[in-house]
Amino acid sequence: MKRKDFSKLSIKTQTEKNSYFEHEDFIAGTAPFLRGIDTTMFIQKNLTTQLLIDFSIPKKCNNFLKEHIFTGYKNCVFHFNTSTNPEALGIIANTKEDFKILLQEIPLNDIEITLSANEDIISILKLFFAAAHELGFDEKNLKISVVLNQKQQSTFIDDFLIYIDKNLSNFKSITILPSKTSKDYNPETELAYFLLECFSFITTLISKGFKIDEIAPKLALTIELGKNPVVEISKMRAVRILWSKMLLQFQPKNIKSSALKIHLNSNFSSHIKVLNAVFGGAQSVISSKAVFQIINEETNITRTVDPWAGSTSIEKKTEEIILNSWELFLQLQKK
Amino acid sequence: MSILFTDEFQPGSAAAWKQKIQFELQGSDYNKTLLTPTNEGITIKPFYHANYFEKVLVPPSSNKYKICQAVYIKTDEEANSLALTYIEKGMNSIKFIALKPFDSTILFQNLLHKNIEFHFHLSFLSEKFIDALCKTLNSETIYLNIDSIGNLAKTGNWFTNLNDDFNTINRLLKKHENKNVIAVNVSIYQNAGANTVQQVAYALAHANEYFQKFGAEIASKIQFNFAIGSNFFFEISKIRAFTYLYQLICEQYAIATTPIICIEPSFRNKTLYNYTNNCQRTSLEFTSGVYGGAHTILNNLPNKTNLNQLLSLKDELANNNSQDITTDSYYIESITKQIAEKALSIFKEIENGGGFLQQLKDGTIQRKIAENAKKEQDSFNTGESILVGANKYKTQTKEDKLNYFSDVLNTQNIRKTLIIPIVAKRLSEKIEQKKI
Repeated sequence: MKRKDFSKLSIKTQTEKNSYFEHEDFIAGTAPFLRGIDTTMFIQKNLTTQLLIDFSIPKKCNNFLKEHIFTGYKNCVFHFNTSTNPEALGIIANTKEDFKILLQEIPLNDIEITLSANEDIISILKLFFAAAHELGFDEKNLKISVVLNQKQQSTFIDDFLIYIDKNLSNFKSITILPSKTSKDYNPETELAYFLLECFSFITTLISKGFKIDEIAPKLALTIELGKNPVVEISKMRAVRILWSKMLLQFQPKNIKSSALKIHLNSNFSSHIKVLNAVFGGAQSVISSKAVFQIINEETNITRTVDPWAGSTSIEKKTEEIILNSWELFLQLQKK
Repeated sequence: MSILFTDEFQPGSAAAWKQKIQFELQGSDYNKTLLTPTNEGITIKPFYHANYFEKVLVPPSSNKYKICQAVYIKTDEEANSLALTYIEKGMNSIKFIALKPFDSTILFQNLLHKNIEFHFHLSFLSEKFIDALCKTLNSETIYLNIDSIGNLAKTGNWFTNLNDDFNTINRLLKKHENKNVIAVNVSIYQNAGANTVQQVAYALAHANEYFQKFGAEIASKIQFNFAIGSNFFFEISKIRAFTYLYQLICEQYAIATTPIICIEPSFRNKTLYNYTNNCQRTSLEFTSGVYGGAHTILNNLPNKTNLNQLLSLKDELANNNSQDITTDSYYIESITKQIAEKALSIFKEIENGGGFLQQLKDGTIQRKIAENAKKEQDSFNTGESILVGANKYKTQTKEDKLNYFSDVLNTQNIRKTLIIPIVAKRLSEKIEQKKI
């Protein structure tokens, strides 16, 4: 057979999208932060990988943490079991002495610690600061974040803020765990409750004399990722827009107030969840370092911001989540 | 949407975004800091935006993907029992790798009529054997993956000789019209160091040689076996660009079809140390394959972690039409278009130079692959490109048993060859020898 002549063959390029959504042209690094809170995201700033520490025995936690600090970990999450349920996961530490064992020989000035507890977070915070103080650390230098669920928010304001002298500067961030999760409900319900709970938390703090730009930059969202990449990526993009919009009524002056940080709190065994965290533009995940190292160093995934932007299914889902969550938030607010 | 947002927030143009980045860079060079050049000659930009949208219309992939486990036949009984185990775990496709003829009645005991797809890699070409195999597997979906040109490229020799090989294949095609007889093993080129653009071009040119011999009517029955490397979005785009171009080229023969694609993790970027790193890599590679629109995702390593990852991939991504997610993505569409454009240009050069076979005989293809492989190797040696655990973040961990079940590795002893064989090579091979 005579060879076919392909010399005239060329590709046919199209410069119009087949789908278009109105929110698509929002960018990164500027409100409403659809495509990420920083203009260059992971190109210049790594996703933080946090080490989860939740053995029941403080000494075991201490050893585990020391080993990992040695290999380069700088971020960890202490999860405490403060419930009466002995089956629940988490560190069991009820006294200042327990905490001193937990924090023995840990360079607290060099690492960031997130504290989380299933129930009584206030006692944990008090014991933590007291132990750190006795170990010779100035609490003002500690890089502490705290995870608050809805029940913990009011006691946090009433009890703890008084304890630390009405000052939020001790905290790197206060991350809010929505009371309704995607797993049990759906993304829209999760985000609507998140907005509602933050709205009420902020309103209370303002009534106690805080200013919006003191509060909002400290607040963050802690969520668990589900399995469906389209939903999870869209959810993270949507919630940044929703946050920016919700904050408008408080008239923030600082751009950082409108930029929502996202922390992902389940322990990530599967790479695909870390992958989705990067795709969605989250700030931290609980994971082993190696997963992100490979994604970051070998795959070029982090070399462009919000790589799925424009995708018909992602943008469609993002729009859907924005609209439905906002509507539900307004309904809940009226109640 | 308008009610919610139009007045409150300003949309941002690509220019505004770039300006904001430049302002934040405080004098650092935008190009040096934020652009990522690649061996394809395609630069990854820090962001993609609707303002500079471009795409080619990639035809949708028709089937839901299968997950496939490779089984290397040592004994027929053992291979049979392994295959049964994998199927029980949830795999819906098996690839048998055979160095010599096997006994079909033993190998396929209790395996038939279970809606399992069977792939083969046979290191030999025997008409009689294949006739018998097709008879046993009469009512099954099978991919024989016979690739004489690929065998020539990989080993330097035909199975027998050009004429005998092609005559045998021609008869097989006629006798087994409803089976997928031929394959184009593009993985050979990837594993030797060809970049994504080259792979797409070579896949097309390689297939076009079969069109020359057997007519383009076979286009819908050829399986393309791609190896997937590290560059996640380029790998997705590679499959999409190939799908687009294959359709375009088949149209020139008045054939309307899309390609059948099977993907497997690359051998090239795997490391001897730290077994879990390889599992992370393969897992990402499987994911690229799914998003790219492959029909079969093949695990060519015999380890349990990979298998479980593949099984969970079946759960995690199967409910989406996972290729839909790529449509209209600014980044993927742009890379797809650029790969397609560059690959078509190489394809045309090859055709101008007498076609793929001619250029294999000339050594042109080998030379071009070697050039890119050298670029990759140099970049790895200088630490510009990284393999975690090999040239960065080195850890003292146990050696991984790199037990690779792939047709990319040469199984035959080196003998006198007709052409220079295209040999698979791992990037970290040398550095790891030093370590030992």
